Amino acid sequence: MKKYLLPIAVLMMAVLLLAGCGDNNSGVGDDVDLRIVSLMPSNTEILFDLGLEEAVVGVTDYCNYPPELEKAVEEGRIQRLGDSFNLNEELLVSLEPDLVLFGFGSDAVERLTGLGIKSEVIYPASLEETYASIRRIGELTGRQSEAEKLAADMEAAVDAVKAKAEAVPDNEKPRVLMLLDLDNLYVAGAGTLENELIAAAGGINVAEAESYAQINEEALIAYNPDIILCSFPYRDRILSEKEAWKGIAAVQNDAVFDIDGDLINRPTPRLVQGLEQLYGIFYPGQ
Amino acid sequence: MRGRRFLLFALLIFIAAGVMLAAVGIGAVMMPLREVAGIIWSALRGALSRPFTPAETIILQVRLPRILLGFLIGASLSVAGTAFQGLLQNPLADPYTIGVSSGAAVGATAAMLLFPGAASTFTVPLAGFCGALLALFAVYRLGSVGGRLPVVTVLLAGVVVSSFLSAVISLGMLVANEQMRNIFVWLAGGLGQKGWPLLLLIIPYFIIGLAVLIYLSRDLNLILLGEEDALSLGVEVERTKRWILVAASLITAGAVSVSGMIGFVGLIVPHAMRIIIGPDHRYLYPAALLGGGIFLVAADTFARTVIAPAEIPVGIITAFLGAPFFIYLLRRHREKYRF
Repeated sequence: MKKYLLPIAVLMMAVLLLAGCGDNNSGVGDDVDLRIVSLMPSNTEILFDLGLEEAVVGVTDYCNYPPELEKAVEEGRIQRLGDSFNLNEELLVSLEPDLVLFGFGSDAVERLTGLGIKSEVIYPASLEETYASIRRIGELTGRQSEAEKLAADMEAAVDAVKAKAEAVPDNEKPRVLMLLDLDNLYVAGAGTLENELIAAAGGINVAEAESYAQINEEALIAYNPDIILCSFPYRDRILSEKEAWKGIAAVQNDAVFDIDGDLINRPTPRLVQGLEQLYGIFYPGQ
Repeated sequence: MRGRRFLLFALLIFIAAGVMLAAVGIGAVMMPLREVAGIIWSALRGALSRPFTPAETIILQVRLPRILLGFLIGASLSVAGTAFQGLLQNPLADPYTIGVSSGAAVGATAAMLLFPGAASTFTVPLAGFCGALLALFAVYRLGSVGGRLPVVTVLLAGVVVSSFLSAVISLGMLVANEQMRNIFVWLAGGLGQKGWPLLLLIIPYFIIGLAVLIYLSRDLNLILLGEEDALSLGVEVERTKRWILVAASLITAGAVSVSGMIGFVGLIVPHAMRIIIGPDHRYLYPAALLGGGIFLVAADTFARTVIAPAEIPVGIITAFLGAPFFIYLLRRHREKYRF
């Protein structure tokens, strides 16, 4: 037995030394070995837009864009972590991320920072903040130039639509209601992204509430909007079920539209698509 | 004594009419009574042309059904609460103690999960009603001992079924994700967006249940003096208890299936009416009916007006209004209070 002691000791030391190498602890900003977890669909989209598909290792169950994401999940390169409210922190930490992007503040942020994992909350609530968030993500991942281009292109496209909309006098702008939930009458009021997009596209948001609010059916009828936008497919139900809404201008003039909520609610460059859709609805044929 | 009671009922009816009339003019859009009366009068004469103006729509298709529904639900919960407090001989009982409402909640939750965005407005209430009946059946079986319904076992059975079903609902909410908010809002209870069809749906159940309860009101009085004494006075105690259980559960099932679990009404109004009118169920049921209706209509009017265009869930208002009022009543009539 004794004669094997030296070779075994040498072998063990070699194994330990090799394990010590190949340390994946690359700092944030060095994107070659970056491992990023995104806990908000909007941030996931931006990461893919910046060309960081290889760096993303974890996303939520609700991250559904772009299509390449689904492929990566199937191939096991990206792990789904549930939803950001019931976060599986063990699973998250086991992915050994260098950067975790949160969509809202929670104690998890402090916990992860305490573990040495860079965590940041990024959830813009306006177009300006969206441009800033794109630039910030670029900063965090060493992709400043791509981020600058992405943000600048987005801003230019938005400004183009805004210019067209501003040419319309106020009394010719359509009065719009943005409906988020039909059974509980949730609407997008002042201070929301949807509200900003409606205004930018040349519409007037009739909901006088703050943020996302549940309103009274009476108030909705009294508002008498010219156009009703639904972020879920409610159009058929509205036309068939809502007896009391038949007198509303939007229903009378067949101006109830289902639109993809993701395009007007997520702070990503796809807001431009949403904005252009809105302009097309408000001013058809222009 | 009789004269006083007569006056009290007259007063209650007067207040009920007054509150409902006022409620029709109050809301996110305030309307003077003259305009409201004009619209209703024109509607009755058939003189209104479609489509209705916003004001007409609000009065006839949104507010009127909502106020009537509020009165009916408030009356249902109060009457059922009175019956359960008598049946279970427990001042803390309310329509939700017996587990029937949890059954309705499970049925409604299942419907919302299985048919998200259900096209028919009847799906959720009907499923809720079925769930309520199943829960009643379970409680009845669990609570029966040798063909009798001992008060203690019925109460325990109700609590057990209620707890179990609440756990089922929590599990449902965990699985729900997208539907979670809908389920949560439904459970908290509300009178909005129900419309005429649902109101008409539950009226029969209320009338049948109420008729049975009033028919048995004298028997219930005697049972509360002691089951043995009631038996010797010729009351068929077990049969009466069974019928009261079914009738009150039917009323509760109807109410909860349509408007969810609005709290406080079924617990507090019976007590308040007992203090005002006395514990004789022949008068207590009608008083609870009126008192519950008034209370819920007032609370709902407040809930849908005070932060318009937004709404406060009516259950919060019933709790805030109910508790202080009850404290006031209790202090004033402490010595007169008999259960």
